[in-house]
Amino acid sequence: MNCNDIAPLLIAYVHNDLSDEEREAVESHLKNCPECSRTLEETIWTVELLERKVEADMESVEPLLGDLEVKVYRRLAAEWVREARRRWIDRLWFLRRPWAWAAYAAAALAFGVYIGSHHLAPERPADQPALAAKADECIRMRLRMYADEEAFRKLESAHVIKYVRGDEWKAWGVYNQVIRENPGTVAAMIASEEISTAEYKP
Amino acid sequence: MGEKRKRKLNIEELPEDEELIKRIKEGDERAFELLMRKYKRRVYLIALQSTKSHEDAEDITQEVFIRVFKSIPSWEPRASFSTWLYKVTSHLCVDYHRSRVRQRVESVDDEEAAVPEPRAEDLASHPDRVAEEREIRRLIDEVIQKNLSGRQRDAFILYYYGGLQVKEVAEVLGVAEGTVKMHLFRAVSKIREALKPLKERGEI
Repeated sequence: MNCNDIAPLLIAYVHNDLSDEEREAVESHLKNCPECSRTLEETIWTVELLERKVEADMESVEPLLGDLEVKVYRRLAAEWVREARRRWIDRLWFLRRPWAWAAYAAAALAFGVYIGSHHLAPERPADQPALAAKADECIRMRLRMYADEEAFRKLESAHVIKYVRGDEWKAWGVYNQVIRENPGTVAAMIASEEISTAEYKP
Repeated sequence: MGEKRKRKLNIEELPEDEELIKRIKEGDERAFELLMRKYKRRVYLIALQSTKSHEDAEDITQEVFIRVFKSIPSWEPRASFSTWLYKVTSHLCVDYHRSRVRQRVESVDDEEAAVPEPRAEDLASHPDRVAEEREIRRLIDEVIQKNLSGRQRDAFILYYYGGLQVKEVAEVLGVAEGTVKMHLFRAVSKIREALKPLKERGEI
């Protein structure tokens, strides 16, 4: 191997990231080549400075990322609740048709069943893999930290008022109540999102 | 033992990736947090080199972990976890640039330094050393941003900020190992040349 073959290997050599063969080739070449030995020396101090810089960068970004985990959980939780809500609306879309007044009774019944059976946040679709359900358990645990069951129940009933009964004005009131009573929680975040997307504002 | 060393040890003490993933699959709520804590700074710094904006880099970092969380149930350890994680990161960075090219709004912000300034308390303790370190960091950043080709930069960033091996960088970028070695060699050579004047003046 000549110098041109050896030089590109020097970085990985310094980081001990070469195969045994390559390392032996580099070492036997270095014994007889002052030029490459000098390059190696320069590479060593450059790499030291680089590693110090990377470490310094890692330290200086630490305070910027202090609440990243919480933000990720919030986004996951919000997505999850939105998905559950979409499913809910899909299931009951016909109730919003004007001709389906009779079905409003069924909606009220569904509402009752829903509140009765979903004491926490709604479940994921049944067709999700079992492992996803397990992973979801992580979010569920976290959700309890950010929003209590009561807030979620109120939020869901506001969704029913808004999407099933079509009473945006009343839903607006409930959303505001959720925000007021649970500041800084996922439930409040979802409620304010709902308020901001409402077509009708009292 | 200094604060810096302690923090470093803390990171070392985090469990192996495979162990963490196994625990997440079993529904351990803490494991995913540990995984995020282990990798968030690396993912963020890689995204920051690509986006040069704190908000966008943070957004990408969050999105990376959201995708990771969703994919973990079906993830099989065919390759190393970090390789996969950085693949997701670089895809999101590419998407970010695509969406930016579409709305192409040039702004002065782009020229701003990629890495946050050191904190005041650091400056107070060793003013000379910190100023010198900062000069070195600034110089290195400048070379990374201005003098490296796109591919050289990608390889360099994954190798140093991602902490990957040559083999893994090759896998993330989809190129041969020899190519990665060549990119790294060129990148480090350029940085070395830029730092040489400081070295010769005895400032390093």
